[in-house]
Amino acid sequence: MKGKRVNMESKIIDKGSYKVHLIKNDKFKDIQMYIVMRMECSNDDYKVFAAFLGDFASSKYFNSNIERYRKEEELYDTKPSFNISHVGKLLELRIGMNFLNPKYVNEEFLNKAIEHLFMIINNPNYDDKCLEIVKGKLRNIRENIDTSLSSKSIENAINLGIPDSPLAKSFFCKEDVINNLSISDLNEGYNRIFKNANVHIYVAGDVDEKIVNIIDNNAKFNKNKVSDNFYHIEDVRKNVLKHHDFYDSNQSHIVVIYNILNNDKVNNIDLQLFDYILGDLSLSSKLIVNLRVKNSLCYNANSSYSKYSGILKIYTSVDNNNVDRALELINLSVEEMKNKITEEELLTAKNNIISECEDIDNNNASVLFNKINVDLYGYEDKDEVLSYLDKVSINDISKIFNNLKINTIYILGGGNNGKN
Amino acid sequence: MEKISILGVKETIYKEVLDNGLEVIMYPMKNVSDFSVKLTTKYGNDYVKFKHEGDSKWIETPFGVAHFLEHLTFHMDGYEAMDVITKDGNYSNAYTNSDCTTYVLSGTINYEKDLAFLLKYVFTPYYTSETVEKERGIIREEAKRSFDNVDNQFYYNCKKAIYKNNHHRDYVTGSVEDVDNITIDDITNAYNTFYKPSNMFLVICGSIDVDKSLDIIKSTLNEFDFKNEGKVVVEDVDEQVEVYKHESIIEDKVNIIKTSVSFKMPFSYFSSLKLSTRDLYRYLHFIFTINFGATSDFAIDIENNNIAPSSPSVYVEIEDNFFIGTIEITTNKDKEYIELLKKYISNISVDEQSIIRKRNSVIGNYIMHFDDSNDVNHDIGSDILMFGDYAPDEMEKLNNLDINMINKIIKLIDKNNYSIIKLVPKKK
Repeated sequence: MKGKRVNMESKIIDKGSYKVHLIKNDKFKDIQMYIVMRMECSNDDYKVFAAFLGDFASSKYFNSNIERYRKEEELYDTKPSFNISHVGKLLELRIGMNFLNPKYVNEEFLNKAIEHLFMIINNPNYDDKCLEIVKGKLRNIRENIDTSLSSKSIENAINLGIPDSPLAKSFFCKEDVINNLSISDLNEGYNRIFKNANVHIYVAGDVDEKIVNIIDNNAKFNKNKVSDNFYHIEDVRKNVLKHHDFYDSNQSHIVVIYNILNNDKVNNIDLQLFDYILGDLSLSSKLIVNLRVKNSLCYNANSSYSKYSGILKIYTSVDNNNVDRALELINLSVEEMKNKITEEELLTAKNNIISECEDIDNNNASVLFNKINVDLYGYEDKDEVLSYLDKVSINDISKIFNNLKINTIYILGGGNNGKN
Repeated sequence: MEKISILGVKETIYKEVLDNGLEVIMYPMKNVSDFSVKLTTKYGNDYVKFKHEGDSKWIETPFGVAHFLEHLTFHMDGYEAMDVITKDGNYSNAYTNSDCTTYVLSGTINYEKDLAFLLKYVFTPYYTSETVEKERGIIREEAKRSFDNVDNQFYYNCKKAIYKNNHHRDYVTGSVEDVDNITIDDITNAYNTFYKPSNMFLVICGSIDVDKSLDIIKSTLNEFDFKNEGKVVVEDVDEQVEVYKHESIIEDKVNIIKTSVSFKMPFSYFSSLKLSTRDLYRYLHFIFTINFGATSDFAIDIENNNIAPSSPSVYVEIEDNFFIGTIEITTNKDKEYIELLKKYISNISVDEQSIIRKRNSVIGNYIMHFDDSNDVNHDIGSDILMFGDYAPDEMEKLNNLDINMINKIIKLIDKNNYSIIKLVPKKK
């Protein structure tokens, strides 16, 4: 059974300093909007993150943050939010807003919702109060990372093993950086992205070009270009870095990082299939079969990759006495990718990607997420993926093994002072 | 099937209770290609002493059996149920909490085949000493992982401060010792008692044909011989009205203090009002979020006095015969925070404007949930577990909130029956 196909009318309106991409459909009860701002990444990207924490916490138009939240409740829970990430050498700031289709409210609602979004992002109020809120929020984020042993082990492994990678340019600063953060840092972060970013606005839902006029009445962006080549090519380590931080815990957390050599030439879909077979969360991946199903060593083991940063990483947590055995089995699982992929494993991976493709059109957020990946990051569209899956072979997948080079083995746990 | 119109959103759900007692709810969606299926048994970690009505002997088990059983259910004779569904391109999983165990199936392809298979594997128990020992090792690691998790430990410590006896205090996985002590007999007893259609419900939402789905469910279940052994009785745990500990401090590996304040409100507080549990829950949600949530005057004071960088998280839960209203925050200015909170606790109130604002926010989310097969499935399942059924008139209820009733409820809340739990950095 294949999912229902619904045609969605797509249109691009070039407004000079930015482009609006409208994906019109009347399938859903909501409208989804993303403003995608992209520029080259730098070591100061944490200032952009801090600036937007501040922007969303303090606006010239509201006496308090709470006043803004109250307005959002009145607007049927229309809450703008933002997400920041590195895609290879690029910094991407994505501002999103999901709101009710105006037909459930009234005609003025669309205008009010869009105006509200731009009222926030155009009018930061970086004063002492705002700075304290930003510092407090950054401390809470740092606390969440430091108290989650999985997050902490992954962050430590990246910082030690691949310090020059964009993945190591963390937005989530440590205490010394937070303490030194100033109002001018917030202004610098805000101005840097608003002056330099290339901007695309994506909207999906039951909308027409009227929304473009509302956006244009409110938007203030500069025209900028962004490089099409945003692959980060990671230097390869001569010797594998092995590092163990001892920590008083019931389990040891293991992170193994691999470089993906020639990451700019590896096929997206092949890599997705490789990662699925190696370390998907289902019970049939190589890692889960070897560590959990056959040896009961762990509850969870998985792999993930960043194609544009050229990194594949494996994570698991096991009893402190089973670290060596787990490392052997991780190695065995990766080795099995070389010449022990079965037709059944490939078929399972293909079916899961087909299912993901069929899921793309099931909500406006996912429609846009996919469209942004295709338009801005060169990913294959749904039809291209489905057609490629018909012809991909085990050999296509297993050859990615030759592109992997182990970089770092990191362990957090094992008790204080190395004693269990 | 009974056709039920959902007021205010122009949607329809279908309901039927099968001859074997299984309650089936379906919500067909026109504009999507995905599906979300959840099969739930009303059996969770709370149920450690039970019997069939009329039996003289109680069955007792350690904590963690419901969760252990959830793991074992995926084992079939010579293969894993999850592998079958994964190979079909769909997602399969399960979760256990205090009062239920739910088996999940979702995806976009092979719906009919996997719906039948879900029913087949859940109703086909297969336990051997080998599978039990294999899962025991995995569950021990799952439990240890959860003991290393600061937030998880804090959650259970909060429950231990609220309750003296209630089983919400106890780890869903069981302790490592519980996991080691669970036997095949414990698992078989639990399965035979709780895994029968009359103790379960099935919710299906998404791109589905209602009649065809019902045929598949009926024909699959016809292959099984379900014995009717009568009603299950679970031993009631005697729980005091007063919170067990009014204040407690827990030390862990944190740098910033986390404070949780939980109000314990037995249903009996409100019996004079003759309201349904659902109506009370809705009103309590409004009372707690309006007074202590992100848009409350309390939150404005927190921001203006620089007590914390973020507003408190506020939620109301139903646990057995209690409503638990919780207010949580992360800040090292814990003393100032508690002082301020106490001031607001003694002045709980609502006004028309706050109700309208909060209602708009709830309505926005309520409507948009009907676009997502998983969200709406969750809403239906939660309602069945908390209130016994899914109500089609929620919009109407939201549009007719009664401020006089809210004020009566506020008067009946014991403003001193709360527990303050602080998670503080470990002394070095």
